[in-house]
Amino acid sequence: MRLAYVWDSRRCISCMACVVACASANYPEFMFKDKPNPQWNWLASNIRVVVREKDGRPEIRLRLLSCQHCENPPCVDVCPTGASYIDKRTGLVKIDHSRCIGCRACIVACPYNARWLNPITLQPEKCPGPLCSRTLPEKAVCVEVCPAGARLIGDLDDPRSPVNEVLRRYKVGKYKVERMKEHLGTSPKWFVITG
Amino acid sequence: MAGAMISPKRLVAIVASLVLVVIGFAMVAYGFTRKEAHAISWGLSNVGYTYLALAAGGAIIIWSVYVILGYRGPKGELDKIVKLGLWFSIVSLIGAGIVILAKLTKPLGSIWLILTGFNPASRIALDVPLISLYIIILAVQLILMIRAASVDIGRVGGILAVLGIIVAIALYTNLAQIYGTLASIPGWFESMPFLAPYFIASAILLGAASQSLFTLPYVWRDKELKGFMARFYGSAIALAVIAAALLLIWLMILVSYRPEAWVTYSKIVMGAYASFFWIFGILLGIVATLILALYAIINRNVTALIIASMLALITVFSNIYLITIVHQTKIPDVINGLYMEFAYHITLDEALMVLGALIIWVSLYVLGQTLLPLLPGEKPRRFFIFK
Repeated sequence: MRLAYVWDSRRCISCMACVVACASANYPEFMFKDKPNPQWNWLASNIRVVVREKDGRPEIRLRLLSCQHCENPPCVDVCPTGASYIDKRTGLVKIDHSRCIGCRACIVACPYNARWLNPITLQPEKCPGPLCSRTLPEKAVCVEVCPAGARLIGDLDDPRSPVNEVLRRYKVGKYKVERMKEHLGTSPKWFVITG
Repeated sequence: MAGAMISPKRLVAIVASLVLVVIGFAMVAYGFTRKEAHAISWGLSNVGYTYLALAAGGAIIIWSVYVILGYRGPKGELDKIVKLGLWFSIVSLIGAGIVILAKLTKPLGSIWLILTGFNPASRIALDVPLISLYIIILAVQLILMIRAASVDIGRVGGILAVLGIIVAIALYTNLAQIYGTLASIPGWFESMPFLAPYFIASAILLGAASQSLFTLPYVWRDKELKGFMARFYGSAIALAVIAAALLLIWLMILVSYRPEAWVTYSKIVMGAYASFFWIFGILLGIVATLILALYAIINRNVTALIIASMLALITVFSNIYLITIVHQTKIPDVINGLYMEFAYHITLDEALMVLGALIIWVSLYVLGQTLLPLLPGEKPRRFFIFK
């Protein structure tokens, strides 16, 4: 199994429901703290908003970014203890916090800057993939709460999975399926639909 | 029996250095309990670790010049300071270990976790066996010299020296690769071919400079030895400064053709950190250090050696600081042409941990000199290796 994400930038309405849902599901203890994520100067959420600014105003080119669950993840390569690893069952990149020594190499190594340092545990945090929710087991909360259906998760090895259906649909035509920073050889499993 | 008694002066030195070691550990422990999350992941603690690990590079000079080439000075002057030099390298590596372990969330369990989950692709994991081997080789060589009550330990010394040089160069190359293999930070990644030789040159420069500064107080009354040290360490400093300067020129030419790396290098050369770089890195670090080192060689002038050594210490620190910090302050984001910018300021926790480690470093060196027979004519009398 190789679980992958799709984010359809055309459908996204920038409501940030996914960002808040991720924060409240994964880090409820941080909900009322000021600047709980000093690295991104952001919420304690695994989703980072990337916006290009022009003359001090945000341009309408936005990326919602989280762990790309790469097939060649630099964070796993640099981890000295094997605390960052690829879960062979799901193909997702995971963190075993009991083995993490807090060297922060994974945070520095991630070319997507998709990891942040938990200011309480001083250990890295990132999107754990589905099963992230404590209240909705077996669901990725960001996918569940998206009102526009802009987020999908599925198995790349299963031809009938919703992810493969969408990727097939957008392979031709005026829309494009992109993977970010592919030139680095990370083989991200996070697809962005643009057009 | 009088010879076996500890003199009051030595007793004061032992107690004072022990107290300072305790104070140093207390500072490290207090800093550890107040650790914060910063916008930049690798900060002053990483600078301190790299700096102290490089300071152990003086052992390369001892192994290559003294043991392998067999150069002992016109009147065997190096024989008098070689044990102090080896001890200095050992305490530098211990200091480096303390500062980096304090940075981690599990300082005591981390070595065990690294060894049990060893990831050979990780340069940080490789650092553990390399630094351990480095310390073991230094310690075995020093113990053999102490036990033999001589610096001549025969063929074993030569084998240990060859092994030591290999391990030391592997350690500094690996240390450079910790930074240079990360494609996420273009300032490091694009300067990879330069970083390893630069770290080795810096280790020799810092090793020579700090070894001369730490050894001089113990041989201050020996004028002949001081004159020899001015020439010997002056030459090592001058050669290492020339090597570092050439590597710096090479690097600047290299990165000026790499736009992504130039984003942060331009900050160093002509941006917010330019005055820091030009004053400490170039003017004092290369020009003044080289002139003073040459003056020390020609005139056997110890004062010039001391100033050159102090400038070298400051230079390597400022260069490691710039290499470590500045390239993390601006990194490319996922949208083409967009960069994430971070500000860095030294916080109390990091300052305490690094300062504590530096105090431990100096105190352990003094403690070792008071307990171990490292000076000419001193022999082991108690517990196998102690005075």
